[in-house]
Amino acid sequence: MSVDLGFITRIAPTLAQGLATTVALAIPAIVLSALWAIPVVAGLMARSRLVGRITADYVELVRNTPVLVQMFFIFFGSGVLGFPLSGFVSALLALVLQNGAYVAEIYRGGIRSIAQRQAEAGVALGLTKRKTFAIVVLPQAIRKVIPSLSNQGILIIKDTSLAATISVAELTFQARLLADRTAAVFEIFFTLALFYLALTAIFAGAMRLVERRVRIA
Amino acid sequence: MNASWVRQVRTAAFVLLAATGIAALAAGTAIAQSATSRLDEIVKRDKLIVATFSTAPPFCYTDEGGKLVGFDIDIAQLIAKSLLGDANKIEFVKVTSEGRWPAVNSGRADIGIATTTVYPDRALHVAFTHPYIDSGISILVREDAKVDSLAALNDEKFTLANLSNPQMADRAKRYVPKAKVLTFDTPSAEFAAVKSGQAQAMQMDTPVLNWYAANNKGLKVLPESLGVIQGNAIFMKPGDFTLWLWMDTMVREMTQGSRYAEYSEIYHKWFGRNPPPERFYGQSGK
Repeated sequence: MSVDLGFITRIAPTLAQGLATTVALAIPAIVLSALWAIPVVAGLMARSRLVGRITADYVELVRNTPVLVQMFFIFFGSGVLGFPLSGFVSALLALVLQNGAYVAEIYRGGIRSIAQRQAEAGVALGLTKRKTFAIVVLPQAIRKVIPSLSNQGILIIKDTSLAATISVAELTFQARLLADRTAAVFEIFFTLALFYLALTAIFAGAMRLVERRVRIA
Repeated sequence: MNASWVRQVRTAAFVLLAATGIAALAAGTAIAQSATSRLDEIVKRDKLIVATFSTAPPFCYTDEGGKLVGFDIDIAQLIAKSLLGDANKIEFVKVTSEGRWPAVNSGRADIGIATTTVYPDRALHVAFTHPYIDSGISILVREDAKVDSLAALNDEKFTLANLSNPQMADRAKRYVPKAKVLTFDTPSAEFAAVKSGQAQAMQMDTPVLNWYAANNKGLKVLPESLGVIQGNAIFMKPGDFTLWLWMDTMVREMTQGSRYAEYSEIYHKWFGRNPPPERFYGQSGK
């Protein structure tokens, strides 16, 4: 079987519609995951044992169940409980809940990677603990976690495809509809892969720019 | 900076080259395959490989014990029995709605029997036999939605669950344009949407809905059907006339020939009534 290029240009507009939804889902999912991870990492590193325990349990729970199952759970569960959430909101919630936990672990790794000696040095110089964290530990930690964050962002972009199963008309969803209408599965999924590749490449490129921008020396 | 550009260009060229190679290889095998029929391969292998669904009752679904059962499964076994002399000389490949096409076109399965409606645009990419069963599309509603007709369902406050095929979307636009629409990739997810209250109604093949309504409380099938009678058929990779002819002959034998008795038995088992008669005229010719 050969690839029909004319066919690909015919399906591209429909896929582009899906692309818009994918982007509309991926951007808030990435931003909210990065934000939601801040209170989570604060909980994980809290001095209070109870808070630490509860946060760690949350992280384990969402990290150890598939995001697809979480989407189903939120989407169908909210229906059963009588306040049906839309597929888009259910997917966004599931992505943020799960990836927030992953990103929190990335943050924690970044903060832990800064030697304890530096914090001690800060305190010895007369800085408060809070100040030490803000001007000594945090700036270094942020630079260290950027590559891992980039990686996680790519995972989120790819995971948005799971939202197709709960009726969100994103890229994969449109591709499935097209594939079912025409049975030309190879051409369609080939094009679909190119769309995702473009999306993740742009994101990864942007993250590399950020990384270079904030590099020290 | 410069070196990294060179490296990137080199990588891109390599990927392109590899892709071209794979495409050429695929084209080569396609030509080689058309020389002999897949039918000989099936007979030599002594086993029929069938692509089917596992979530579409009562045609092809998994029962409580995890066994694949349904009308289509029984039909596939009748075909295996007629072709290889044993209903158990068969292997099922479970596929999704859009995954059924590559399952046969890639050669993973010999044929597909998956409650598949014949449409002209589908026939561009797979070869269909004549239909082995008539099908229509109906709508299942929650009784608590208090809807008795298509006209009543055509309201913004109702949500209709569809399967992810465009024919469903077309019908929703035509018959209930005001209702909201949700789209799922399996009949079971569609059904879960109705059960959970995310949707008040779903459209699906009439026999499937009759089966759902009979096995669940608080659901009913609207009396009107959407559109015309359609045909469900066996599909396979196009271009293999010998295999297609055998399968098409088998369908004719089931619906109007030597296998009609067994076909009727299967039909009755799943739908509680007899299939359409073998002929519209009696044998005595009066």
